[in-house]
Formats: sequence, structure tokens, C-alpha cells
Amino acid sequence: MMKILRRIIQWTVSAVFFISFLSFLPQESGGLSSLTAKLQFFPAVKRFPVFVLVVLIVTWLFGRVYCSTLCPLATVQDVLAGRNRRFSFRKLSMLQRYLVPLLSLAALLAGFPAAASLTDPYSLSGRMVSSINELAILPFIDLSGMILRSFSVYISTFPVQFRWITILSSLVSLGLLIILSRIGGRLFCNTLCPVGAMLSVPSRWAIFAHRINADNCTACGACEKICKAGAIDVSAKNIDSSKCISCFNCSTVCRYDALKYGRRQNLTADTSELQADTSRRDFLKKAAAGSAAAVGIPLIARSQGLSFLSGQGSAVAIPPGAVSRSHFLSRCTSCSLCISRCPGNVLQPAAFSRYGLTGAGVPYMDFNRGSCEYECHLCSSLCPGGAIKPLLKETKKQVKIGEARFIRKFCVVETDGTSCGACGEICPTGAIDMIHIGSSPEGELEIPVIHNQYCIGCGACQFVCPVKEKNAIFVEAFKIHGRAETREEAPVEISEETDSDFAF
Amino acid sequence: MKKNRNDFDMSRREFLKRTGLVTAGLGLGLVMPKHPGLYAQEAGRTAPSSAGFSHLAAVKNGRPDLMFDRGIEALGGMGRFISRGDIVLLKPNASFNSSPERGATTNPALVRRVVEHCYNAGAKRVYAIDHTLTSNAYKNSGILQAVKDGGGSMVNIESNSAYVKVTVEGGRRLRETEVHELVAEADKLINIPILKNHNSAGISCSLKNLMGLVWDRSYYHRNNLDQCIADFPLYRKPDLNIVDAYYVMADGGPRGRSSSRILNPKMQFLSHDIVTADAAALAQAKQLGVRGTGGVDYLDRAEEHRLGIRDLRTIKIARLSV
Repeated sequence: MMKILRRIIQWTVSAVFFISFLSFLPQESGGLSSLTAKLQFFPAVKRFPVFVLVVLIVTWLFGRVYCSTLCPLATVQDVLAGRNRRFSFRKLSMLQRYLVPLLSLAALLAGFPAAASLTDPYSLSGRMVSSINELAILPFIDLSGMILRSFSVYISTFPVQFRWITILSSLVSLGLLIILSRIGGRLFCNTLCPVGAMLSVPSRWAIFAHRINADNCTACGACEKICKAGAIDVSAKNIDSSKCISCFNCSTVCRYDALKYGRRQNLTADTSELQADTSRRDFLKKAAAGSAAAVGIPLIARSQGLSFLSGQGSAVAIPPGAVSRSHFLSRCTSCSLCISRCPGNVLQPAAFSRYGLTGAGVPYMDFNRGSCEYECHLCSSLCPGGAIKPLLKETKKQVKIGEARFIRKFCVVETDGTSCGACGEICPTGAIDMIHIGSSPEGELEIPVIHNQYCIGCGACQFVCPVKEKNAIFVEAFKIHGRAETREEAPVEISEETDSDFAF
Repeated sequence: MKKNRNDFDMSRREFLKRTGLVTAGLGLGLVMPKHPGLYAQEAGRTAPSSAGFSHLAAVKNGRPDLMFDRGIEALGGMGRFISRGDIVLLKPNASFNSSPERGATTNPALVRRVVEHCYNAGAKRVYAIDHTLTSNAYKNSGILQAVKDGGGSMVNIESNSAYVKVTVEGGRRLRETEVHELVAEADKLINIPILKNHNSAGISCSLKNLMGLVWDRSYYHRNNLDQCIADFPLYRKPDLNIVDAYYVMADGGPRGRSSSRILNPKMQFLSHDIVTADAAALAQAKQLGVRGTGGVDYLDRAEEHRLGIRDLRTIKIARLSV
């Protein structure tokens, strides 16, 4: 019963999660997408402490139900582990269980969330789903479109693109997950996952938990073999509830009514493992040293200007709502949700040069590949970590993420003596006026003049500029976002000129 | 260049049905030649005979759809332009994420009426297409709904996978370009531009509107915009041009600013001759005080290509009022 309920919730959440990353969804579906994203624990650690507290309390009451229902990576691992796998109790030392998660947490809190997200189950899943979208779903739609066209049916097909940094990181994660899930089911959840590690603490003292009734138990071992978390030790007739992810597989499989989920009789914590771990002090020392290194090295790198580690430091265009480079980098876990859904195709994952090693996969705006749609504020409504703060559409239209610069000597009007006007045509804020500079044998010539007080740095002009080799017009990004004026000289008036005469 | 993510022009159920068809059609589609119907119609692509009919119909003082009813009647009815069984492609201006009264996009009521007339004249299928400049433009211009209401379908462009390379015979700067395969294959092409100011072309109308048929718009900008605009019709001229001058954006075009002056002359010009249609529109724009009417170079270039008649004094004009 509980298992069925768990499965329904898990698969529903996972399905919505998967769908929400599909790049071609209508913008209006942003609400649903942001809901599943915002239910995620890790990005919420810095953004939304109340939610974090709620999850911790729920875990203390009912065990790690989060890990078996809301976590998208749970489903990935279940699929990877395959059906009918046999597991066994696995004893893990404190070091094995908490070192990596602590490093991740330390990195998150110290302001390097993208580095921390290497083990964050949400961001990791996000990058994997984005990769599936790019590698399988978009090509499939393209193929379908091709076939349907021969039947005179025209569906939308989308440009197939490969964002190699996301795909590379997904492949590495996938390899790791395959190995871990093949070795021991949810080994990831109990050795690498920062969320698993955090929730294991209240779960150890969980009020409702799985427990073995020693009187009924025949030590047949069925529950131990089905426990993907490796939490059941049949020989000791004991369940380590800090490892248990509340999947309800064991209580379903027990034929002797010996294993049940319910209120624990004695509320003392199961500390057998804690006591068994003699090197606890040693562990704490190592964990502290590790965390210090994880945080310290990038900090030192930043202060010493080691650009390969901390990025070039020069301004990179970041989306409206990201406030400033430092705000953005300290919040973004590079889940790639915004990248996947950006209708302007302007958000792209950074490789190593823009934000350094610790910022790989964090989005930046590539105005040679797209531009920030004037009427769109989707990324700001999706971002689960508050890296891109929610903005109203009207507010967003005034956020100045940079300013356009025009280099006349590169402009096609100057070099070729032909008319163009691509930038003036596309500018959504009226920041570009075309002024007459004379005429050539080819016709009348006009070049752009930029009124920077109206420019928001959306990059539309750079994107459409036909001079591709070296942009004649380009956006100079701001490290800290500003605010643009609205060009509004007069209200719109429609003159009611009825019965005017034909001019011919 | 643009992304109409939302503008799925079919219902979800229909989409699923069609997606199901793909799987079934996969095997079939690979062994079958291209749908023969599209090519079988090619022979029917003939210019309408102008004998006896007005060369230009100018209509005023009515709703866009009613003005079209009058105008097309004066030109001999839609049956003169559409044959039974035709695949028709419409090219409205749906380029901007902007509502009809902003004068940046073709009036949806007009587009819908044109679709209905096409079907009444026996068209087999009616499509509409525009390579827009902003996402959601199909939807927010109201044209997506208008085409759907008329029974036609709007073709989304997200990638160039449906585009085919074509040569422009006699083009001076535009010698080859990529167009959607419907542009190459449709039996009839109907151009439904809106008349407005354009910051680099002077005014935007019939000739400029055809730019939305190609994939690589930036080629035009790189290689003498005016010449490319005038070159394109050498590849394919519309069978009918319907100039929407109900709302006219007098400045700040083509996108329009909040401060743009929007006029409301309530007019429409119809002609099978794209140069005549633009000449009429330009003359009217001058009288209305639209900006940019002094620098419409592409019309000169089109005349050099002998694409049509520019001198309005030499042609038969039907002047109508609804």
C-alpha cells in the first residue's frame, strides 16, 4: 500500500521533472516546471530555509521519504540498478558516508554551488535530462518532422544543438551512477549525496520507521536482498534508519509479518554504527580539513587571480534577475533548467574560461547564438536556487544587463556602402535610431545611433548583425545590473482619419 | 532566428494522433516517394489573366475583412487566383510580438477572411508562414488564431530542416537562398503585407514582406538589403498581393515603439502585380505622412527587374468604398 503510494508519487514527480526540462515546452508551462524545481532540497538550502526546515522535520517524523519520492535522481538510480537486483547489508564508515557530502555542502555555503552540484542530485538529474533532450528527443522530433512533411503535415522541428559541457558532465555522472548503482543500489545516496547525508541525520531518530520484529523474523534474508540502500542487517536483525530511504520494498516483501513501518517503540537512536566507528574524531578532523580545502582553494585562486580556477573575472552577460556576477555565482547550481528552456537560445552553459573551473556549466548569455527575448522572463520564474531572482515582466524589461557598443568601421554600411538596418529593426526598446549619412550608388545609407539610456543589453542587435567575423555592434556586459529608462515620449494615439482620399 | 515555441498550430490530441502516424509512417515513408500531390499541381501555376479586370483595387472605409470582400470581387473574385485543389501559401506579416492595433503585423481579421476565400474557391489546403523576428509573434499578433479559425494552418519555423535551396534567376545580389519547402511547392502564393514605416527600407510593404519567406535574413542585410528585396520575386512572385492599410505605423517601424504614431486610414490595396501594390501603398503613405517614403530604393530596383507596373496612371484602378 505504502509502496504503491510511494511509487505513484515518485513516478509522477519524476515525469513532471523530466518533462519540465524539455526545451520546446510553451513558456506558459513555466509554473509547473518551477514547482518541481523548487521542491528540490539542495538549491533551496540558500534560497528558502523554511522549505529546508520542513523537509528536515518531515524526515525526522517519517524517515527519508524525500529520497524515495521527490528526488529525481532516485528514479534514475532505480532504472539504472535494473529489476530484481540483489543487494546486501553494507557497512560504511563515517568517512565514506560523510566526507564528500560535507565537501559539497561546504562548497555550496562558501559560494561555489556549481562545484557542489557535482553531487547534488537535482542539478545532476537536470543536466542529464537536458542532455537526453538534446541528444535524443530533439533529433527524434526533427526526424518525425521530416517524415510528416512528406505527408504534407508540418510540425515544429527544432535546431539540434550539442552543449558539450553539459553532455560531458552528464556522461561522467552517468558512468559514476551506473557503477555505484550496480555495486550497491543507492550507494550514491549514502556516500556522495549531500541531501542524503543531511537527511540521514534526522532520519536516524525518525519517529516512524521500518523496524524488525525479532520474534517473527526467521532471518530468511528476503528484506536484506531487496534493500537497495543496504540498510538492513539480517544477521543482527537491525535496520539502519539513517540509511533507509523509505522505499517500502522490505515491508512488502516480508512474508512473516516481521518487518513493518510504524512508530518506533523506543525512541532511542540507532547508534550502533556511530559506536562502531572508532575513528570518529579522526573523521571529523579529515572532514574539516577537506572542507577547508574545498572552500579555501577557490577562494585563494580568486584572490590570486588564478583565472583557470576562478574564471577570467571580466564581465560575462548574465540574465536579468541574476543581480550581479557574485550573486549569481554564489547561487547557481548549474542545473541547466534555464538553459534548456530559454526561448531565445541565448543562455548557454559556460565551459571553463568564463567562470573558471568552479563555474563550469553555469549559464552565460551568448549573443552570437541568440538574444534575450524582450517579452520573456521565463528563466527568472524557473530558477530553483534564486540565482536568477523572480522578476515581473514589466520590471524585467527595464533591467540593464549591459549596453550596446557600435564600431562604425566594421559596419556593413561603412565597409560595403550598402543599406542594412538589421540592428535598428530588431531593437525592442527603441535604443537604436537609424540616421542618414548620405547615399551611394547602391542607395540611401543609414547607420545606427545608440541611445544607451534605453539600452537593456538584450543582445538582439548583436545577434542579427550580419557582420559575423567581428561584431560591428555588440553588448558590453555589466558585472552589476542596472536599470534602463523607458523611451516613451507620448502615449499611443490612433488618429481617427476616416474617409481620407486615395492618393492616386 | 525566431522561436514560436507556443505556436503549435494543432491541438494536443491531434499532435499525438499525428505523432502516432509517424511511427506507422516510418516504414512507409522511407520506401514511398515524396507525396506526389504537391508536384502534380505544379503545372497549374499560371499567372491570372488580367484581361478586363482592374489592375489594382483600392478599397477604403470598412473593416479589413469587408474591404477584402469588396476588393477581391472587383478583381474578379478569388476563383481568378485559386484553382480547385490548390495548395495555397499565405505570407502575412506576423513578425512581431505585437497586437493588431499597433500596426506592426497584418490584421488578423483580414488574414482569416483570405483563408476562407481560398477554401471557398476550392483550395485543398491553406498554410501561412512567416520567419518572424520574435518568439510568440504568431500567437500574440493574433494571426495564429485567425488562420486556424479560417481552417488553415500556420507553419512553425524553429529550424531550417524544412528549408530547401533555390536559385534566383537574374538576381543581382540574391542569387540563391533557402526557402521553406512550401514556398517552393505551393501552387499559389498570396502576399498579405501591412503597410508601415521601416527604419532601413523606408517603408515595408509587399516586396519587403517576402523577406519572411527565406531562412537567412541576415544575408539580405549583409548584401544590400534593397537589392535583395527586389531580387527575391525573380524566384517567385506572389499570385496576389493584399496590402493591409487599416492601421498604419507612421514611424518607429518595423517593430514600433510605444511612442510610434499609428494612423487609421482604413484602406486596402489589392493587385496581382507586386510593384503596382507597392507603388499604390507608397503613394498613399506619402499622403498620410508616413516617415521613410523618400528612400524606398527597392521599388526602383524592382522596376529595373521589370517585375511589374509602377506608373499608376497607366493602369485600370477600381476605387471602392465600403
